[in-house]
Amino acid sequence: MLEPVQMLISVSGVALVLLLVWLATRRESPVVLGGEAGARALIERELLGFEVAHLAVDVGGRRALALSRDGKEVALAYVMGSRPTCWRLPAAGLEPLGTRPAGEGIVAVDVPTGDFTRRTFSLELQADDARSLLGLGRWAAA
Amino acid sequence: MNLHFPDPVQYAIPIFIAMILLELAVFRFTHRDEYELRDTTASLLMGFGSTIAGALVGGTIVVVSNWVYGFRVWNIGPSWWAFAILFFGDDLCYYWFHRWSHRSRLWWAAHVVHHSSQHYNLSTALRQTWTGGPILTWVVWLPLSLVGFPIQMILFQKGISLVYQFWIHTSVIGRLPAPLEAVLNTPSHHRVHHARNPRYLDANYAGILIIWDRLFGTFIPEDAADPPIYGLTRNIGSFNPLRIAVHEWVAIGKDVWAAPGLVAKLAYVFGRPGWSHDGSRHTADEIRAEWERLGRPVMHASPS
Repeated sequence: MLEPVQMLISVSGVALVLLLVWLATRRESPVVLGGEAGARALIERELLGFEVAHLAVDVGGRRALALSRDGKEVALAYVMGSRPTCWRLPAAGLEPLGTRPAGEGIVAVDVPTGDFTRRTFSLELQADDARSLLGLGRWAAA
Repeated sequence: MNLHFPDPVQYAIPIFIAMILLELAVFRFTHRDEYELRDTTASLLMGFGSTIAGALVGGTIVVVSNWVYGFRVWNIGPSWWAFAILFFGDDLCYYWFHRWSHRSRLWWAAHVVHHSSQHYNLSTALRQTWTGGPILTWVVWLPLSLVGFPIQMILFQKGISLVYQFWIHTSVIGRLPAPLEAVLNTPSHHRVHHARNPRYLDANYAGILIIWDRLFGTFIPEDAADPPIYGLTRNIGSFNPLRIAVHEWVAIGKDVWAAPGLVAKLAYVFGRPGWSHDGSRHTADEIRAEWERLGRPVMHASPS
């Protein structure tokens, strides 16, 4: 185990690292997906063989949900800290929990993922986008 | 044999911190966003937790190693030649421990923690597992006790290896001179290991010497045309250390519960990571095969 002096050095060092990381990164603009084009490119690049048929991007620009052309899969794109990434889930059984108002003309859609690290994937969408997404027969029928 | 060796990791901690600060400064002045506060915090907390977890199982490891040592073939004391042989022996054990940690889901559930950051910087080196001890990942080193190396010597050499592997977790250093790249595990080789590009999956398991990968056919060089993108083929969605530590265990539990039949249940525990009974998920080999089928597309850096 660490001696007290070594423990003090370690704790102080960790605190210093975190302080300097905070100072170095606090003014950085939040990373976004880059609109529909960026989200589509990200999904199709990261998820081999996934062809986006329908895409809805969160109003904050950091999350998106896409349905595949064959209707069998859903892609969830999001920014984790400062790194965009995607999940690929079977469309079958993946139903939105529901919607709730999230501001004027904005609707929040919650999608249960079944994943321990992010149980619910929430998107805030323009009302039209939400209606379009939720009304997609292929997803509803999947 | 009454031996005592210092713990190299304890002495290296101030150097670790100084190197992280130096790397942070380099990224700051080159305008690269390689550090993220929550990511770094999670990595450092995983490192602390790993130290505690290691201390909890350390006694068991020593007891079992000493028991095996009782059946030793030779009596090997601390001499220069003994440490020279141990250097290679420990590194070979590390290679197989690491390879199996990527190819069996049981051990992957512990090791996945180390790959769970989408960043590749020196703090990532400290993002270590909390659950490797209880699932016996340390048994790979028991042959060294059977050969005749005292546990104190083995632990010392493992510490040296751990300290060596810290500095290779960086994208600041490009490539080293060719003779070094040929023999040593370098930042370039280890970037490949942490990459999730299909081209690079399941490669470069080396600790200190890359020769094992070259020898056993798992070496893949870094390709400037396909820069490494870091993290998991399916990244985690949390910076919470507890979730990072146990997420794959939870996933295994869910899969085993839902699997049809004993064979599938066992395969979810002992099979390759990514295996699924219904083909809904994919192993590294399957991902690479699909990538080949699609014409080997390059995985560019994500937009920001």
